[in-house]
Amino acid sequence: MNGRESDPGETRPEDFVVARFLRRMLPEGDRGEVMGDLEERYDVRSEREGPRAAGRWYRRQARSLLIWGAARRLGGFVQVGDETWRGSWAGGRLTSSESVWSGTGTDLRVAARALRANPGYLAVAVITLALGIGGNTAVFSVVDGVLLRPLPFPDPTQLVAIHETRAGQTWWSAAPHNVLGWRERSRTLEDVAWAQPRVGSLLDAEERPVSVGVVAASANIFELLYVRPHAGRFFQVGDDIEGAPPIAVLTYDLWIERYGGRRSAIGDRLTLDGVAHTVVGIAPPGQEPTFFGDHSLIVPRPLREAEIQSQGRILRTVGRIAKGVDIEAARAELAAIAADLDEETTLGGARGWGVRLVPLKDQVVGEARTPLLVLLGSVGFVLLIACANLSNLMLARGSGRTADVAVRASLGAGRG
Amino acid sequence: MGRSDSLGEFEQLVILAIAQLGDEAYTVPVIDEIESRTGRQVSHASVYVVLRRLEKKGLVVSRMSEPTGERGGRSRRYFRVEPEALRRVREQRDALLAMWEGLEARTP
Repeated sequence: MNGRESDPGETRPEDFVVARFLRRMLPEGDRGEVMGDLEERYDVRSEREGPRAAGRWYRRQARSLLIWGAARRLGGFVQVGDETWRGSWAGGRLTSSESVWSGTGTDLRVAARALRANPGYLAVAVITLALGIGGNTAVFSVVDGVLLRPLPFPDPTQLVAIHETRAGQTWWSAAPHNVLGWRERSRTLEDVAWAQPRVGSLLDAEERPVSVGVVAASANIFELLYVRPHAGRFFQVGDDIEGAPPIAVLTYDLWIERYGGRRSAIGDRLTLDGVAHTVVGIAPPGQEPTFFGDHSLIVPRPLREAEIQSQGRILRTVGRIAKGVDIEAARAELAAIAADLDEETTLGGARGWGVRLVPLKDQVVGEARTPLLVLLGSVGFVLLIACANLSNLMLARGSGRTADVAVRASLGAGRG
Repeated sequence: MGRSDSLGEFEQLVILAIAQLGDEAYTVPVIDEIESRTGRQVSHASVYVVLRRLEKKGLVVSRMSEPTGERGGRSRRYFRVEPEALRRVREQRDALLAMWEGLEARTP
């Protein structure tokens, strides 16, 4: 049979993607023979049926030869030959490429039978893998939630916690007059908000007091976070002025728990710390400012004149770095502003206060990063050990099948 | 005839195809021979599997040709049937014929 001249534009079979895989899969001793045989028959088919049909035939043959090639490389791992054998004893149907694929199904059935016959081995294998995989999954889900996922706010990398420092120590709490000074003077911070978490007493539907977490925050807290209300509204300018009517924003969970998700919650009044508050809005799920602590309600936090005049470090402060500004520039500017404020202060009490910006993600993670990473590494090793144990089990089991394999070989069957 | 000597149906077909082709027996004409005589479709993979197994059992021997100008310069692997293979195929044919004896008149 002579090689056929290709039409211009016709893709030759050696350029088919499956042919490239097949060339790589076939052992060197088989490669030339098999690829040459396929090409020869392709040319004959192409003359008879056209290049398209010949191409389809070629790809079908090549796919089944991939399995054979893998079997040759791995030493008979896949029982392609058994399928041929069984096909002939079962009724004479010659092996087609479809039944080559069904050899894999046969392998699975043989494996299932072998495992059913060895329940002890199966139990040990399952438990070993379950411990390794389960441990890793559990730890990874914690690491993912705490370390890997960004904060659930738009542009989260621009959010920073603003610490005050003095004599080498740092606290995430600031004096109100400093907070106001940072907000007024900073050009690198788009906005600054504050909050004071506390525990409050909320009357439930049966008028019984229940302890709840409360975050009392500046009116711009949600605006800084770029969060929109799930229902109703958030705070407006003037809501955090002393004497303003008491209002509250509910977290999504409290809204579902107390009101069953009904919109009639908006405008309802609830009693918090003995004071009636009007519900004005619902925070979207997962976007509450939980970095201030777990809470069920957010209420406005006015700054009283006495607080502004005092040195009390009572406010947790967050800022959003302006677009296009990096954190180092913001740090430099805030340090200068803090130095000016420290210089200017006429308040009683010690000077020497500085400021430090910490990415809010790092603030939330805190000191948990290193222990979590160590834990992740540890369970990773547990999984490796589990895999090694399982491999030893399989080796021991394999060596125990020597007689079985010998009998099969004498009958002309494979190792399966 | 012991069970360990038995050849599968497809193995018999491959052996007979090689015998029919004489010196020109390599995979492509073996496949053509089986398909044209039996009317069935044969995959390359199944033929390679059987040829390798027969060679392992010593029932066929193979040799590589010189690289040819056709087939992109790739060699062909030619096969030859050993006498033992034909002996076994005859034995199985005779056993089958013995079982058929007298049945033709009685079966549809």
